[in-house]
Amino acid sequence: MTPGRALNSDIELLGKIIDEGPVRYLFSDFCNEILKFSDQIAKKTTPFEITFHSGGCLLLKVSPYKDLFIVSIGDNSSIEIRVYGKDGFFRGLDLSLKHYLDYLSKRYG
Amino acid sequence: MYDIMSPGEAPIEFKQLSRLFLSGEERGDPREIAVPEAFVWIIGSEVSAMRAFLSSGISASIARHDVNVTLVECGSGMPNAGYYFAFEPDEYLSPVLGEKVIIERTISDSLRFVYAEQPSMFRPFNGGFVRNNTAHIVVEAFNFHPGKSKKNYLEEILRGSPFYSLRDECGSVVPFVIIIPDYDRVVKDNGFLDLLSCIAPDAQLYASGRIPVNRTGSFDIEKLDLSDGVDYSFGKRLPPSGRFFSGFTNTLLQKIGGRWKEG
Repeated sequence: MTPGRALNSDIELLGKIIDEGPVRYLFSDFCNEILKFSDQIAKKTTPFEITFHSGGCLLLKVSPYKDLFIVSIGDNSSIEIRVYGKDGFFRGLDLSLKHYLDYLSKRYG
Repeated sequence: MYDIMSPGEAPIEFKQLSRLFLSGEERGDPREIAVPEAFVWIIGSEVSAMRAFLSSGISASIARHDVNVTLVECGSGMPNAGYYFAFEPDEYLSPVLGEKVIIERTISDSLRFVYAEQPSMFRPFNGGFVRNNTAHIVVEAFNFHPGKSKKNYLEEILRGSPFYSLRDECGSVVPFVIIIPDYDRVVKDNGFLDLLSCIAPDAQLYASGRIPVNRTGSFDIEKLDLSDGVDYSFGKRLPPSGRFFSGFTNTLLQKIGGRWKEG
Protein backbone atom coordinates (compact mmCIF):
# COMPACT_ATOMS: atom_id res chain seq x y z
CA MET A 1 0.00 0.00 0.00
CA THR A 2 1.39 3.41 -0.91
CA PRO A 3 1.76 6.11 1.76
CA GLY A 4 -0.92 8.16 0.01
CA ARG A 5 -3.47 5.41 0.19
CA ALA A 6 -2.60 4.48 3.76
CA LEU A 7 -3.23 7.90 5.19
CA ASN A 8 -6.13 9.26 3.22
CA SER A 9 -9.01 9.10 5.72
CA ASP A 10 -8.27 12.50 7.29
CA ILE A 11 -7.75 13.95 3.81
CA GLU A 12 -11.23 12.74 2.85
CA LEU A 13 -12.63 14.21 6.04
CA LEU A 14 -11.02 17.60 5.49
CA GLY A 15 -12.16 17.55 1.87
CA LYS A 16 -15.77 17.62 3.07
CA ILE A 17 -15.39 21.37 3.54
CA ILE A 18 -15.59 21.51 -0.25
CA ASP A 19 -19.04 21.07 -1.83
CA GLU A 20 -19.52 17.57 -3.16
CA GLY A 21 -18.31 17.38 -6.76
CA PRO A 22 -15.20 17.37 -8.93
CA VAL A 23 -13.19 19.87 -6.84
CA ARG A 24 -13.51 17.69 -3.75
CA TYR A 25 -12.10 14.73 -5.70
CA LEU A 26 -9.30 16.91 -7.05
CA PHE A 27 -8.44 17.94 -3.50
CA SER A 28 -8.16 14.32 -2.44
CA ASP A 29 -6.12 13.33 -5.52
CA PHE A 30 -3.85 16.33 -5.01
CA CYS A 31 -3.04 15.55 -1.36
CA ASN A 32 -2.53 11.85 -2.01
CA GLU A 33 -0.20 12.58 -4.90
CA ILE A 34 1.94 14.87 -2.76
CA LEU A 35 2.41 12.01 -0.29
CA LYS A 36 3.60 9.80 -3.15
CA PHE A 37 6.49 12.14 -4.00
CA SER A 38 8.49 10.49 -1.23
CA ASP A 39 8.07 8.32 1.84
CA GLN A 40 9.90 11.09 3.72
CA ILE A 41 6.94 13.45 3.35
CA ALA A 42 4.69 13.76 6.38
CA LYS A 43 1.39 15.57 6.70
CA LYS A 44 -0.28 17.45 9.52
CA THR A 45 -4.00 18.01 9.43
CA THR A 46 -5.83 20.77 11.29
CA PRO A 47 -9.58 21.52 11.03
CA PHE A 48 -8.99 23.96 8.16
CA GLU A 49 -5.84 22.98 6.34
CA ILE A 50 -3.31 20.30 5.66
CA THR A 51 0.44 20.90 5.64
CA PHE A 52 3.14 18.72 4.10
CA HIS A 53 6.64 18.59 5.57
CA SER A 54 9.90 16.84 4.87
CA GLY A 55 12.85 16.78 7.26
CA GLY A 56 11.19 19.44 9.41
CA CYS A 57 10.80 21.77 6.45
CA LEU A 58 7.34 23.01 5.42
CA LEU A 59 6.84 22.22 1.75
CA LEU A 60 3.29 23.36 1.18
CA LYS A 61 -0.09 24.03 2.68
CA VAL A 62 -3.45 23.09 1.17
CA SER A 63 -6.59 24.86 2.40
CA PRO A 64 -10.05 23.71 1.33
CA TYR A 65 -12.96 26.15 0.91
CA LYS A 66 -16.55 25.80 -0.24
CA ASP A 67 -15.87 25.58 -3.96
CA LEU A 68 -12.09 25.58 -4.29
CA PHE A 69 -8.85 24.79 -2.51
CA ILE A 70 -5.75 26.93 -2.25
CA VAL A 71 -2.24 25.55 -2.55
CA SER A 72 0.39 27.69 -0.81
CA ILE A 73 3.92 26.67 -1.74
CA GLY A 74 7.04 27.18 0.36
CA ASP A 75 7.48 28.07 4.00
CA ASN A 76 6.55 31.69 3.33
CA SER A 77 3.64 30.77 1.00
CA SER A 78 5.19 32.91 -1.72
CA ILE A 79 3.21 31.12 -4.42
CA GLU A 80 -0.53 30.57 -4.10
CA ILE A 81 -2.66 28.68 -6.60
CA ARG A 82 -6.42 28.69 -6.44
CA VAL A 83 -7.77 25.40 -7.70
CA TYR A 84 -11.30 25.42 -9.16
CA GLY A 85 -10.72 22.66 -11.72
CA LYS A 86 -8.22 20.61 -13.66
CA ASP A 87 -6.17 23.56 -14.96
CA GLY A 88 -5.43 24.83 -11.46
CA PHE A 89 -4.91 21.25 -10.27
CA PHE A 90 -2.18 20.58 -12.83
CA ARG A 91 -0.54 23.98 -12.28
CA GLY A 92 -0.59 23.52 -8.50
CA LEU A 93 0.77 20.00 -8.65
CA ASP A 94 3.46 20.94 -11.16
CA LEU A 95 4.72 23.82 -9.00
CA SER A 96 4.50 21.74 -5.83
CA LEU A 97 6.53 19.00 -7.49
CA LYS A 98 9.13 21.49 -8.69
CA HIS A 99 9.36 22.97 -5.21
CA TYR A 100 9.84 19.53 -3.68
CA LEU A 101 12.48 18.54 -6.28
CA ASP A 102 14.37 21.79 -5.66
CA TYR A 103 14.28 21.02 -1.95
CA LEU A 104 15.55 17.49 -2.69
CA SER A 105 18.42 18.90 -4.77
CA LYS A 106 19.58 20.95 -1.79
CA ARG A 107 19.56 17.84 0.39
CA TYR A 108 21.62 15.86 -2.15
CA GLY A 109 23.91 18.79 -2.88
CA MET B 1 37.15 -6.70 -37.17
CA TYR B 2 36.47 -3.82 -34.82
CA ASP B 3 37.71 -3.78 -31.29
CA ILE B 4 34.74 -2.39 -29.46
CA MET B 5 36.29 -2.71 -26.05
CA SER B 6 38.98 -0.10 -26.56
CA PRO B 7 38.58 2.40 -23.76
CA GLY B 8 37.79 5.94 -24.81
CA GLU B 9 36.76 4.88 -28.30
CA ALA B 10 33.33 3.56 -27.44
CA PRO B 11 31.01 5.88 -29.36
CA ILE B 12 32.78 5.54 -32.70
CA GLU B 13 33.46 1.84 -32.35
CA PHE B 14 29.91 1.21 -31.23
CA LYS B 15 28.60 2.98 -34.32
CA GLN B 16 30.88 0.94 -36.53
CA LEU B 17 29.90 -2.27 -34.84
CA SER B 18 26.20 -1.59 -35.23
CA ARG B 19 26.73 -1.10 -38.96
CA LEU B 20 28.20 -4.59 -39.26
CA PHE B 21 24.75 -5.90 -38.53
CA LEU B 22 23.01 -3.87 -41.18
CA SER B 23 22.44 -4.38 -44.85
CA GLY B 24 24.12 -1.81 -47.08
CA GLU B 25 20.90 -0.35 -48.41
CA GLU B 26 18.99 2.52 -46.87
CA ARG B 27 15.33 1.61 -46.66
CA GLY B 28 12.24 3.45 -45.57
CA ASP B 29 10.62 0.93 -43.31
CA PRO B 30 12.59 0.23 -40.14
CA ARG B 31 11.07 -3.23 -39.88
CA GLU B 32 12.72 -4.32 -43.14
CA ILE B 33 16.15 -3.98 -41.56
CA ALA B 34 17.42 -6.11 -38.71
CA VAL B 35 18.89 -3.34 -36.61
CA PRO B 36 20.96 -4.42 -33.64
CA GLU B 37 18.80 -3.92 -30.62
CA ALA B 38 19.15 -4.22 -26.87
CA PHE B 39 16.95 -3.77 -23.83
CA VAL B 40 18.09 -2.06 -20.64
CA TRP B 41 16.06 -2.07 -17.43
CA ILE B 42 16.11 0.62 -14.77
CA ILE B 43 14.20 -0.59 -11.71
CA GLY B 44 13.28 2.23 -9.35
CA SER B 45 11.56 2.32 -5.99
CA GLU B 46 7.90 3.31 -5.62
CA VAL B 47 8.53 6.69 -4.11
CA SER B 48 11.62 8.22 -5.59
CA ALA B 49 12.48 10.79 -8.23
CA MET B 50 15.41 8.61 -9.31
CA ARG B 51 13.48 6.57 -11.88
CA ALA B 52 12.63 9.60 -13.99
CA PHE B 53 15.85 11.47 -13.26
CA LEU B 54 18.22 8.65 -14.21
CA SER B 55 16.20 7.24 -17.08
CA SER B 56 15.84 10.61 -18.82
CA GLY B 57 19.56 11.36 -18.31
CA ILE B 58 20.80 7.96 -19.48
CA SER B 59 18.42 7.87 -22.48
CA ALA B 60 19.37 11.36 -23.62
CA SER B 61 23.04 10.53 -23.19
CA ILE B 62 22.78 7.32 -25.28
CA ALA B 63 20.84 9.19 -27.96
CA ARG B 64 23.80 11.56 -28.38
CA HIS B 65 25.92 8.59 -29.53
CA ASP B 66 24.30 8.03 -32.91
CA VAL B 67 22.00 5.39 -31.44
CA ASN B 68 18.20 5.41 -31.52
CA VAL B 69 16.62 5.19 -28.09
CA THR B 70 13.10 4.39 -26.96
CA LEU B 71 12.54 5.26 -23.32
CA VAL B 72 9.60 3.29 -21.95
CA GLU B 73 8.65 4.43 -18.47
CA CYS B 74 6.12 2.62 -16.38
CA GLY B 75 4.99 2.99 -12.79
CA SER B 76 3.33 5.24 -10.28
CA GLY B 77 4.52 8.36 -8.56
CA MET B 78 5.69 11.63 -9.99
CA PRO B 79 7.83 12.88 -11.57
CA ASN B 80 7.91 10.85 -14.72
CA ALA B 81 10.49 11.61 -17.41
CA GLY B 82 7.97 13.94 -19.08
CA TYR B 83 8.90 16.44 -16.36
CA TYR B 84 12.54 16.35 -17.46
CA PHE B 85 11.56 16.64 -21.12
CA ALA B 86 9.65 19.82 -20.15
CA PHE B 87 6.19 18.59 -21.10
CA GLU B 88 3.23 20.76 -20.17
CA PRO B 89 1.83 19.91 -16.70
CA ASP B 90 -1.49 18.69 -18.10
CA GLU B 91 0.43 16.22 -20.26
CA TYR B 92 3.01 14.69 -17.95
CA LEU B 93 0.71 14.80 -14.90
CA SER B 94 -2.36 13.42 -16.68
CA PRO B 95 -1.96 9.87 -15.24
CA VAL B 96 -2.42 11.31 -11.73
CA LEU B 97 -6.16 11.65 -12.22
CA GLY B 98 -6.51 7.91 -12.63
CA GLU B 99 -7.35 8.06 -16.29
CA LYS B 100 -5.76 5.26 -18.28
CA VAL B 101 -3.41 7.47 -20.20
CA ILE B 102 -0.45 6.66 -22.36
CA ILE B 103 1.94 9.53 -22.99
CA GLU B 104 3.81 9.07 -26.23
CA ARG B 105 6.13 11.63 -27.76
CA THR B 106 9.09 11.88 -30.11
CA ILE B 107 11.65 13.96 -28.22
CA SER B 108 14.32 14.25 -30.91
CA ASP B 109 15.43 12.54 -34.13
CA SER B 110 16.92 9.71 -32.10
CA LEU B 111 14.87 9.67 -28.89
CA ARG B 112 11.25 8.75 -28.37
CA PHE B 113 9.40 8.42 -25.07
CA VAL B 114 6.44 6.44 -23.79
CA TYR B 115 4.88 6.52 -20.35
CA ALA B 116 2.21 4.07 -19.22
CA GLU B 117 1.13 3.47 -15.67
CA GLN B 118 0.91 -0.31 -16.15
CA PRO B 119 2.88 -2.59 -18.50
CA SER B 120 -0.45 -4.13 -19.56
CA MET B 121 -1.13 -0.79 -21.29
CA PHE B 122 1.90 -1.06 -23.62
CA ARG B 123 1.01 -0.74 -27.29
CA PRO B 124 2.88 -0.08 -30.55
CA PHE B 125 4.57 3.31 -30.75
CA ASN B 126 3.01 5.56 -33.35
CA GLY B 127 6.05 6.66 -35.39
CA GLY B 128 9.63 5.63 -36.09
CA PHE B 129 12.99 7.36 -36.16
CA VAL B 130 14.46 9.67 -38.77
CA ARG B 131 17.48 7.39 -39.27
CA ASN B 132 16.23 3.86 -39.02
CA ASN B 133 19.40 2.02 -40.04
CA THR B 134 21.18 2.57 -36.78
CA ALA B 135 21.31 0.57 -33.57
CA HIS B 136 18.35 0.79 -31.21
CA ILE B 137 18.31 0.62 -27.44
CA VAL B 138 15.08 0.32 -25.48
CA VAL B 139 15.45 1.70 -21.97
CA GLU B 140 12.62 0.39 -19.79
CA ALA B 141 12.35 2.26 -16.49
CA PHE B 142 9.77 1.07 -14.01
CA ASN B 143 8.84 0.50 -10.42
CA PHE B 144 6.70 -2.25 -8.98
CA HIS B 145 3.12 -1.74 -7.92
CA PRO B 146 2.21 -2.47 -4.33
CA GLY B 147 0.17 -5.63 -4.01
CA LYS B 148 1.20 -6.97 -7.40
CA SER B 149 3.59 -9.89 -7.68
CA LYS B 150 7.01 -8.86 -8.99
CA LYS B 151 7.18 -11.98 -11.11
CA ASN B 152 3.87 -11.19 -12.82
CA TYR B 153 4.91 -7.60 -13.27
CA LEU B 154 8.20 -8.54 -14.95
CA GLU B 155 6.37 -11.03 -17.16
CA GLU B 156 4.02 -8.23 -18.25
CA ILE B 157 7.00 -6.03 -19.05
CA LEU B 158 8.50 -8.80 -21.18
CA ARG B 159 5.18 -9.45 -22.93
CA GLY B 160 4.72 -5.78 -23.82
CA SER B 161 8.33 -5.07 -24.79
CA PRO B 162 8.12 -6.31 -28.42
CA PHE B 163 5.82 -3.33 -29.13
CA TYR B 164 8.87 -1.08 -28.88
CA SER B 165 11.19 -3.20 -30.98
CA LEU B 166 12.12 -1.92 -34.43
CA ARG B 167 12.66 -5.41 -35.71
CA ASP B 168 10.10 -7.21 -37.76
CA GLU B 169 10.78 -10.38 -35.86
CA CYS B 170 11.66 -9.07 -32.48
CA GLY B 171 14.69 -10.84 -31.02
CA SER B 172 15.18 -11.24 -27.33
CA VAL B 173 13.56 -8.65 -25.10
CA VAL B 174 15.52 -9.93 -22.11
CA PRO B 175 17.64 -7.08 -20.80
CA PHE B 176 21.40 -7.05 -21.37
CA VAL B 177 21.81 -4.59 -18.53
CA ILE B 178 19.79 -3.99 -15.35
CA ILE B 179 20.27 -0.84 -13.27
CA ILE B 180 18.90 -0.59 -9.75
CA PRO B 181 19.30 2.79 -8.08
CA ASP B 182 18.12 2.67 -4.44
CA TYR B 183 19.12 -1.01 -4.22
CA ASP B 184 18.11 -1.42 -0.57
CA ARG B 185 14.63 -0.07 -1.28
CA VAL B 186 14.02 -2.27 -4.32
CA VAL B 187 15.75 -5.51 -3.39
CA LYS B 188 14.22 -6.60 -0.10
CA ASP B 189 15.47 -10.18 -0.21
CA ASN B 190 17.52 -12.62 -2.25
CA GLY B 191 14.34 -14.00 -3.82
CA PHE B 192 14.16 -10.97 -6.04
CA LEU B 193 17.72 -11.45 -7.28
CA ASP B 194 16.95 -15.11 -7.94
CA LEU B 195 13.94 -14.02 -9.98
CA LEU B 196 16.07 -11.60 -12.00
CA SER B 197 18.74 -14.21 -12.59
CA CYS B 198 16.06 -16.63 -13.89
CA ILE B 199 14.76 -14.01 -16.31
CA ALA B 200 18.05 -12.52 -17.39
CA PRO B 201 20.90 -14.84 -16.34
CA ASP B 202 23.48 -13.07 -18.51
CA ALA B 203 22.52 -9.52 -17.62
CA GLN B 204 25.03 -7.15 -16.12
CA LEU B 205 23.59 -5.70 -12.93
CA TYR B 206 24.53 -2.19 -11.75
CA ALA B 207 23.28 -0.89 -8.43
CA SER B 208 23.67 2.00 -6.06
CA GLY B 209 22.71 2.23 -2.42
CA ARG B 210 23.44 -0.20 0.36
CA ILE B 211 24.32 -3.57 -1.19
CA PRO B 212 24.68 -6.38 1.38
CA VAL B 213 27.71 -8.61 1.08
CA ASN B 214 25.91 -11.80 2.16
CA ARG B 215 23.53 -11.92 -0.80
CA THR B 216 23.08 -15.06 -2.85
CA GLY B 217 22.43 -15.61 -6.52
CA SER B 218 24.44 -15.61 -9.65
CA PHE B 219 24.71 -11.88 -10.17
CA ASP B 220 27.97 -10.11 -9.95
CA ILE B 221 26.74 -6.65 -8.98
CA GLU B 222 28.76 -3.73 -10.16
CA LYS B 223 28.49 -0.72 -7.89
CA LEU B 224 27.15 2.41 -9.51
CA ASP B 225 28.72 5.43 -7.89
CA LEU B 226 26.05 8.11 -7.94
CA SER B 227 27.85 10.24 -5.38
CA ASP B 228 30.31 11.66 -7.88
CA GLY B 229 29.80 13.35 -11.23
CA VAL B 230 26.03 13.76 -10.90
CA ASP B 231 24.52 17.21 -10.72
CA TYR B 232 21.51 16.59 -8.55
CA SER B 233 19.39 19.38 -9.91
CA PHE B 234 16.21 17.35 -9.56
CA GLY B 235 14.00 20.36 -10.17
CA LYS B 236 15.55 21.43 -13.48
CA ARG B 237 13.26 20.63 -16.41
CA LEU B 238 16.05 19.10 -18.43
CA PRO B 239 17.46 15.56 -18.62
CA PRO B 240 20.48 15.51 -16.32
CA SER B 241 23.87 15.39 -17.96
CA GLY B 242 27.51 15.55 -16.90
CA ARG B 243 30.50 13.36 -16.18
CA PHE B 244 28.59 10.44 -14.67
CA PHE B 245 26.15 10.18 -17.57
CA SER B 246 28.77 10.37 -20.33
CA GLY B 247 31.07 7.91 -18.54
CA PHE B 248 28.36 5.43 -17.71
CA THR B 249 26.90 5.62 -21.21
CA ASN B 250 30.28 4.68 -22.67
CA THR B 251 30.49 1.71 -20.31
CA LEU B 252 26.94 0.69 -21.16
CA LEU B 253 27.51 0.89 -24.91
CA GLN B 254 30.71 -1.13 -24.63
CA LYS B 255 28.88 -3.85 -22.69
CA ILE B 256 26.03 -3.95 -25.19
CA GLY B 257 28.41 -3.83 -28.16
CA GLY B 258 30.33 -6.74 -26.64
CA ARG B 259 27.15 -8.78 -26.37
CA TRP B 260 26.26 -8.08 -29.99
CA LYS B 261 29.73 -9.08 -31.06
CA GLU B 262 29.36 -12.39 -29.18
CA GLY B 263 26.07 -12.86 -31.04
